[in-house]
Amino acid sequence: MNSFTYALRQSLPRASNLQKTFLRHESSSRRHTKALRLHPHPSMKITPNSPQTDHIVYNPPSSASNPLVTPTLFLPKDDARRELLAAAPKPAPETAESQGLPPPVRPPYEKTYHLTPTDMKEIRRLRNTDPARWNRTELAKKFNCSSLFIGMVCQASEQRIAEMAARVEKVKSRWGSKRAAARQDRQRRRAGWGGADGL
Amino acid sequence: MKRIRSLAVVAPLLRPVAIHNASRTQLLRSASTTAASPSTTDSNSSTLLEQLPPSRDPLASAKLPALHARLNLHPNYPLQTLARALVDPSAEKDPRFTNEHLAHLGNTLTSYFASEYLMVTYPRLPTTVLFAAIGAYVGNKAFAALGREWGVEAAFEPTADVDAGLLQFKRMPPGWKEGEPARGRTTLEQAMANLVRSVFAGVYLHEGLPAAKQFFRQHVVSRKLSVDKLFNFEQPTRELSRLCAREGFEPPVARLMAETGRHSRHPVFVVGVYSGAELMGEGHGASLSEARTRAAVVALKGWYLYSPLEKDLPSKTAMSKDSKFKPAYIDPGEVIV
Repeated sequence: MNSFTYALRQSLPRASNLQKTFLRHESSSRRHTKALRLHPHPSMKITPNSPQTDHIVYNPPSSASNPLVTPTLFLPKDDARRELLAAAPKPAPETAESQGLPPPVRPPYEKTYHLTPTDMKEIRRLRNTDPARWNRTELAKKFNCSSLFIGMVCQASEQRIAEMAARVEKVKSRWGSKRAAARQDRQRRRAGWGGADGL
Repeated sequence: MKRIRSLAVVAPLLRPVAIHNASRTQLLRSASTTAASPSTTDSNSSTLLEQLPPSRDPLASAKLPALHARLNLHPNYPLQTLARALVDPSAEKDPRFTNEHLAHLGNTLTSYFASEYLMVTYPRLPTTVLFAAIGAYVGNKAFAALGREWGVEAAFEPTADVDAGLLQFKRMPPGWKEGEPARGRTTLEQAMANLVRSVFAGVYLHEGLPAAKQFFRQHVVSRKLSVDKLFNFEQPTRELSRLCAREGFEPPVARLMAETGRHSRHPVFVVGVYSGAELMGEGHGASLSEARTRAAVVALKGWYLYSPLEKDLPSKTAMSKDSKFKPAYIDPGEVIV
């Protein structure tokens, strides 16, 4: 270092001590090291129940289910796979809670079949007299059934259907390009759920 | 016995070529002095044979034995039949020299083999899916691709001087669209598919049914077809519900097996559909309804794609009289919503 550089260095303000220290926060160290140290799956652990000799631990990685594997329920009565599957050892449950069935997505309900032919006649009459007041939702509430069932019993008149379609078109015409594209994309994605998207 | 009978069927079709073979040396001698011109073929029969154009002369082509060897055909399979398979009805008026009848027989054979294989392998397939799968194995598109893989090349125009080892057909005029009248012309795809069918018919006629079945297994069934990708359900949850009611299973209940990021931008839900305590299908999606629908789709696919462990093809009884055949599993049919 020549004298000129030395003088220049001396003239500059010194870096504070704070900038020199190197800190490891939880956000980096624990996230990258300790949090990744997972316990092995219970099927990997050696327990007093596991075989004493060399054995194969079958613990495939989680993946989407293969539709080519027929569920046991769907096998015919005389299929040999029923016995084979019943005799096969079950995989160890991960936790104590996973022993039972998982919670239902929607509360299960019993079908009641409480509507009589006279009720259905009444549904049709109401819908014909005032389709604006007696729409599917209102009828479903009144007769304590699903709106899908109302749709199975009767259909709105052609005039009413055309009227509603025109109203929907009017609403759609007010959409901007972004909303229209988003709705269209959503419809396209929805159309693939039945298997058309190849997933 | 079978082979003799089948050869007798083909023999009249080969006669013009056989006569031509007898006069072949003479033809070669004349060809060395003066070039045979296809424009003078409208004289009597003897000169017609002597001046047979190269497009109808199987022994003048090097491509034919190459194709014969590539396909590993039996020596019983004559080059003449292979040459005939390459002539589309659009290229030649006389049906005795085209593959019209061979393609018809080949179509019958391959459709039978494909439907038999699929119906025994997946006995519960819905009709539309079954037809789509048969089309995917033996349809025009699949067979045209097979013909291309075999290395068959097409002549630009079916003129008299093209090689007999090229596929000869009249192309559609430029600008032709699907659905417009063909007017005695055909597409490359159609012509190539008919060629492949004709080759199958030739294998059946010259080598017999077991060889035809083996040829079909090696060239068609060996191709991977994801039958599970052919489905598209309109109302999967409703269809599954109908299925359970029909088969006497407990009604399906969707259960949430796992989830992550419910309140984030990219949530994932894993839903299983259960009938009682039995899991029927498992699906994942970005919303609960998507996961539920996909789970129902997987369950329905699981039902329709059932495949018995022991598969016995009915055509095996045609090969030997004393072969035991176990009838295929018969299903009550698809679910109607």
